[in-house]
Amino acid sequence: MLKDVTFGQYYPADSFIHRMDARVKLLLCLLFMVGIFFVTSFAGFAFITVFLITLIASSRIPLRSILKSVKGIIVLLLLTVILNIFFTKTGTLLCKWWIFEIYDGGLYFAAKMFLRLTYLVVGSSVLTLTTTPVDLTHAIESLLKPLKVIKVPVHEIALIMSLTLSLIPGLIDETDRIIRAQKARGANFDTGGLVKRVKAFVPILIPLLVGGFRRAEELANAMNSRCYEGSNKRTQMRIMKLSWRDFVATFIALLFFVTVFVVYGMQSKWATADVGWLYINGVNWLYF
Amino acid sequence: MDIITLENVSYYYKTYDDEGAAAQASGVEGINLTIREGAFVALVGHNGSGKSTLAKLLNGLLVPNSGTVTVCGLDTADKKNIFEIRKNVGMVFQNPDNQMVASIVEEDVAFGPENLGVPQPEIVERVYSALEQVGMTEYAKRSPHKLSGGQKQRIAIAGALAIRPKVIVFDESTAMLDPQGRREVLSVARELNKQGMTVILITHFMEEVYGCDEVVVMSGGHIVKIGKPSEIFADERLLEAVGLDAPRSVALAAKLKSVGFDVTENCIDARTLGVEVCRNLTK
Amino acid sequence: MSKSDKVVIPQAVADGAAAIVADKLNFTYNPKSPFSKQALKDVTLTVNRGEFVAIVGHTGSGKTTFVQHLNALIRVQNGGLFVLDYNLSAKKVDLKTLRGRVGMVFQYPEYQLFADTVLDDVCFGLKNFGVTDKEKREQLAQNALELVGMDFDKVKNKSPFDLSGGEKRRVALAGVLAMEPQILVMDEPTAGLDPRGKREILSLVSSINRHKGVTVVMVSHDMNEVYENADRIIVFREGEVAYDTTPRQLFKKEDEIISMNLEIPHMAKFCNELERQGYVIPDDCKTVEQVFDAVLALKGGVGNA
Repeated sequence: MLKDVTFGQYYPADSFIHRMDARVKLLLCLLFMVGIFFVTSFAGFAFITVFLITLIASSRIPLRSILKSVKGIIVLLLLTVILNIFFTKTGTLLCKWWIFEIYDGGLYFAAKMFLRLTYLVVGSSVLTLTTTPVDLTHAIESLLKPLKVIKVPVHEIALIMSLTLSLIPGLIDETDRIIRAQKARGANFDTGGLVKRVKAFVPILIPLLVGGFRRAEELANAMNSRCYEGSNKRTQMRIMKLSWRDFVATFIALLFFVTVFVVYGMQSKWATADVGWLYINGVNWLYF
Repeated sequence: MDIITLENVSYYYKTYDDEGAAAQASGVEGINLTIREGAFVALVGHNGSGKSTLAKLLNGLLVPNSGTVTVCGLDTADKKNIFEIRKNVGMVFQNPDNQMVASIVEEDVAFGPENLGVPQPEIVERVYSALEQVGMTEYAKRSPHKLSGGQKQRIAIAGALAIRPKVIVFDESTAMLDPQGRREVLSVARELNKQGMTVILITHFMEEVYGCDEVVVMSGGHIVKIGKPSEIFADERLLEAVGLDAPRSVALAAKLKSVGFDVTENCIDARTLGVEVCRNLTK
Repeated sequence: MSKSDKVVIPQAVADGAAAIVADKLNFTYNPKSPFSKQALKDVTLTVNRGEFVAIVGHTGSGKTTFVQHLNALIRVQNGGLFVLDYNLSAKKVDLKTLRGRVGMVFQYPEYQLFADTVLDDVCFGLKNFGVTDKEKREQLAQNALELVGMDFDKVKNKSPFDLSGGEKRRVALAGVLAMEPQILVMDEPTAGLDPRGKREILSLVSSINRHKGVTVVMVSHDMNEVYENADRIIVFREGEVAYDTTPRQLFKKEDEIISMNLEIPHMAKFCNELERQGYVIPDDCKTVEQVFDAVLALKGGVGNA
């Protein structure tokens, strides 16, 4: 059952996007996420839709995989839409029933937040679907390198991420095995009240924890035996090289963002209202 | 030439009783042992006999409470030497899943040379020659998670080899594997030894000991006997006392010999023994 | 009336002779997905009550998938499976009583220990299976711990994590035995133990089988231990039952065994060679001692060979 969980959801394929440098992809993805907050008009969203469709098509990822990640936040999406529809009180009143009032402003914000959240997820899932977790780790390490100057333990952070990635499959297997073993001893995880259910997890958590310590000790021994002593003078096998793809992609992306910003500039009035609303409403900022 | 020397080495683990008072439980005590360069030495004993403690003393993972461990002329108790010692003594552990540091085979193998600060082109060369030595080149870009236990251990061996050590210690590296995985690891160990590597094999499977230059038998934290495999196999009383078994065919050969059969001692191959027994029967 | 109720109950199950009857059992992991993998193909076999059956096969041959069916940790997808008087192909199975009667010991069972004391850990299963009386529980736990050779008064209040590796495994085993199961299913119970630990576990399992009449199904990679202990060996190959016969008969097929990447037990190899040269070795000669005696007997009457 737990084995069905695929981590990182990398979708192996050979595409332009797959072959891009992970650092460039990561940076552009961040830029996209910021950029999407500057899009306020529906024309802007139409523009981004075209952009995303082109992006997905060129990445050779089946639409199914993208929709799957959107499905992951479906509850959040519905909540956002409902909260926006019922709690925004700007524009003209459309209908009223008991204490519920729906304004056209509410529908407008609900639609926009829906698109924004969906596109955020779509954009970032293009990154995670086309980049292996290992590449992402390397990209983060490489991009954070300048922070070494201010004594941020960049190497250690990257190592922790890399170790976590390599331990996760084993941990999932082990959890699965312990659950089965306790089930065989009559453990029941599906019935009873909350307290009972939480208590039912003790026989899983303790063996996992004990196993975790055992693993950690063995791993530490293995690392020490292979001459690990922190980041001093460490070299790396993997060299990340920028190729023409990265420059082309960056160029296209920048062109895209410049357009977005220009459109934003033309509609700055709306945007101020929008940002202001974020603070007033006090609900949606949680998500960002 | 001796590559590893242990002189009167003792190591105690700290333990606590129910009241929390510290006590000392013995790991190993009064160990004297020298290992020749290029030798294939097996270290056998039951679980808790101290053989794994001894293994961890060989590359400074543990430092003796008394006595000295010298590796390539360097004392493991001197912190300055640790790096140099670990460069010379590679280690492969028991659980194949708990030694992987990366989620791609080649990056895992590269971990050692990266730590040593080896220049990038040389890391690639070392990684691929190590993978070749263990016959895992085709898996370089794969995730180790999906491999069999034996294959994972071969990756771990490659990880140790990439450091280019003089000695490689197998700390019960076969204990969790199925018979095929065990064969894989053993054949790599034998091949490495043929190429001049000093191999120390820690195990409780007596069959793996066959063909070693020397067997060190441990029990209760002490070395109880050092000898050739044939001498150890022949010492039935010793094996019984330390809770180990001679391979069944060896045991049968010994029994038959004791009642006057003319058979080769230490016959690991049961078929050969069968042929010999038939010859005896038709005589 | 559901479809499964119409299943004809095999005669062997109905008259209580069989502990396990599998009839064309199929199982596929991740069905209908690109990663789908058929793990069991038309597995048909019977295990009689009181039998000691070993299941062997190369890693990935389906043996673990099969044994997890036996207490419904994996539910039947396709085919028939009767365990004791439970029809596991039925939609509804009384899991609680089934799992109490079919004890399952996993690989490295010591990794499932969790309680503060040995006694609590052994009582965990009993509590789950509805032994509400505390005294009764403790009595059953004591019986089980003594059965696995532990000194009850000495260990009952100890933390299971303070025990040695071999002791932990025996406590874990006691946790399953305390439920007094009628079938004991074990997945490589001796993996990782040293020879003495192996012998202890195997002689314990043998004695539970012989003296308490518990049916034992043991998955193992160690052909020597399987050869000496099992009444019957079932070999799985790529999800199918490749062989289902007695140890002596099975290991006479040396070439087939080797081609499946399995090993031939020393004593089987030895006896096969003698038989090839025309000597007769009794079928129940499996341990070193038994073979030794058989050879001595042959020497006594060489002329007849």
